[in-house]
Amino acid sequence: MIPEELQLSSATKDRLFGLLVKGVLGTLLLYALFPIYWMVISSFRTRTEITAADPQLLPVELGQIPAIVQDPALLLEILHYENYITMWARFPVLDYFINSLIIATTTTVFALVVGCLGGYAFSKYRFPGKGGVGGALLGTQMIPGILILLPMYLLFIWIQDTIGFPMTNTYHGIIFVYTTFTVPVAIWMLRGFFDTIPDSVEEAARVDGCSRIQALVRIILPMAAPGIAATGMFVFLVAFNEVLFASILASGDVTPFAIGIQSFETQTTAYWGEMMAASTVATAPILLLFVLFQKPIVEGLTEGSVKQ
Amino acid sequence: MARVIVDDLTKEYNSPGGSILAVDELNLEIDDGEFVVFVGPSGCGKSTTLRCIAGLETVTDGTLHFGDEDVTDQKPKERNIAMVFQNYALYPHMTSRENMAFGLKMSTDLSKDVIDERVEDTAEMMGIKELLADKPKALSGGQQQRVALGRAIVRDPEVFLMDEPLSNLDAKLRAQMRTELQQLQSELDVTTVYVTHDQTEAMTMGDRIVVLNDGKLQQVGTPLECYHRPANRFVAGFLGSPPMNFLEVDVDLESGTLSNSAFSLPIPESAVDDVSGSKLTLGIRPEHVSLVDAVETHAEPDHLIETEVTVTEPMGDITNVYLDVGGESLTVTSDDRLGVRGGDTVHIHVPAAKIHLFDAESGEAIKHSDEPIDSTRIAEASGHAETA
Repeated sequence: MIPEELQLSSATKDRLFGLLVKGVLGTLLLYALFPIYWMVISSFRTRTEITAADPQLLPVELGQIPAIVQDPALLLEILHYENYITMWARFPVLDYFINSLIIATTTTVFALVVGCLGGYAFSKYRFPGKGGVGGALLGTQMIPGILILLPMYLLFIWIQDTIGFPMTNTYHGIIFVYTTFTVPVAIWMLRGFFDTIPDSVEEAARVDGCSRIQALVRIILPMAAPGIAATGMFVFLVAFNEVLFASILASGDVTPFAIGIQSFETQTTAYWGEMMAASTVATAPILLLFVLFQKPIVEGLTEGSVKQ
Repeated sequence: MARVIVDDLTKEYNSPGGSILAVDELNLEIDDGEFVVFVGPSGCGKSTTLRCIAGLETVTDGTLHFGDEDVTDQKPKERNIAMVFQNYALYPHMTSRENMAFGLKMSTDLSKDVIDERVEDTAEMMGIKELLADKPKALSGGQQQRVALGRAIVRDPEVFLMDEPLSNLDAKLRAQMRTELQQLQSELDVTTVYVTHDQTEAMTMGDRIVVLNDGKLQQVGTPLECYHRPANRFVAGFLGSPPMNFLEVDVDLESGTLSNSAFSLPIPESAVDDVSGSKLTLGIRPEHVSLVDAVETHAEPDHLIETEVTVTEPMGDITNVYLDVGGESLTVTSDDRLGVRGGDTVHIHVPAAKIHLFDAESGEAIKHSDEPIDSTRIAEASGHAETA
């Protein structure tokens, strides 16, 4: 037994526990953010700096900081911003980025349209096989992508050969693939949000003169907007970041950014600085999007969990 | 405005364990402009019936008419009804003004100006004009309730349907809204169906009340009719607080008495011809039983029962006295002049005229109390003499 005078008071215990929690969260955050930090500072380095045997943790030397504070223009000399200029000419980075935006945006639109209708049906209707279909949708998420990749590739080839309709290396082909595996998640996420909307609101709309579709569009969807934003963001990120299927099914003119970025690593040289610069540029719009929609998305992510 | 005619309405739900009969062959005629209250315990089918009238539920069997028009298979939007929900069901992304205008926008061809004018007029009548620009989130419960009512009123519907609209309000506001709603309804003179499980609302608000249990109609009548002339034991026990006392009694036709282990009362004269069988249920309302101090000089000495007080509940103006009569509990509401306490032995008077008798098995009423039910007065007060 610890003598009483040595025991911690409950306030101290709380404080220690708080410190522990902050410490753990801080470590996790560091773990998550460090690669992004490294990406950004690498994008401002020369090839020699990047491949140096003892890389510097900070982009500038500590001794230089007072001088930089006095004359911020010094930064331009220290940081190797040329990566941001040369990268555009070396590879069609902009094309890759636009391809990614087209693919991710279209996928998001399709997944949200199907997800809203499906999620709404699952939430508000009773129909035979509801449990089974719902389970099967969830089940598709349990199958690793690599298992579907080959059959999907064969399916694409088969469609091309028998119908003559091009599938590989097309926007619609890769959008189709992404839609198939984001729709189930979208349905399940949106179903949760629709569950939190009381039935009586839809009924009030129907009594007020709406058909079911009108009630959905005019009343239910606006109420589910935070959930739709959260789901949309999730789908968008999945489609934007996907590598496996894109590497096989989407090359040539439709190469998305996630694949295109690898071209900076050629057989003879790796243009690390430019690759990191391109990655930083590609991250920015998504980050901006997230910051803009952060409030509704965070509200949306937590809203489905509590029944009001 | 319309008469609502419910004919053999049946609603069955399919569930994995078999079908559930929510409403069983309900027949009802609601007059034009009448205020009818559906009352009953949870799961009695009152809300289901209302939802069938609204068109939110399909009807398994039977028909529904508004006036001469068969609306059984019509969609809610074709029925020209307005509904007030328990949780108000306001549209959270719209202002009060948009909430109120939404129904008119969707169901009529009125111009924006006309709609605006009607919304303003209704808002003024409801005292919510200054709230028109606010969204529901910014309103208190009472204000939300008013907007929800305003949204129904502005439609000028044929029928108002209200599904426990006051049950989310606190007691004080509820009492206030109760009278306000009654006034509104009689001013607007719109046929109204009101669902509640609160018997105070049922007794005070409706021209007639419809008592339901297990999906079956128990009784339709004015509140006082249902209170003083209950059709069966269920209605008798459901209306009134504290509820009617029920005592199982044996009938002895030879000696002309109703008795159990604790007492023996003469069969009331008015019921002698109707009493048959050997067992009955005697019902007596708590306010009709009185505590007696002068036993010797009492006018109806053979209607006195000696009992023991178990608990007393002082309510301020009256006291609920719980008594033990042959192992069964009996409640008396008394003005407590005697100051009885638990454990006291008292005499109670069960007046023959106030006794109800029910068939012990079916629960059907055999005899009612002779309490007058002044239905013309009630009807005049609510402005619908024809419904009495």
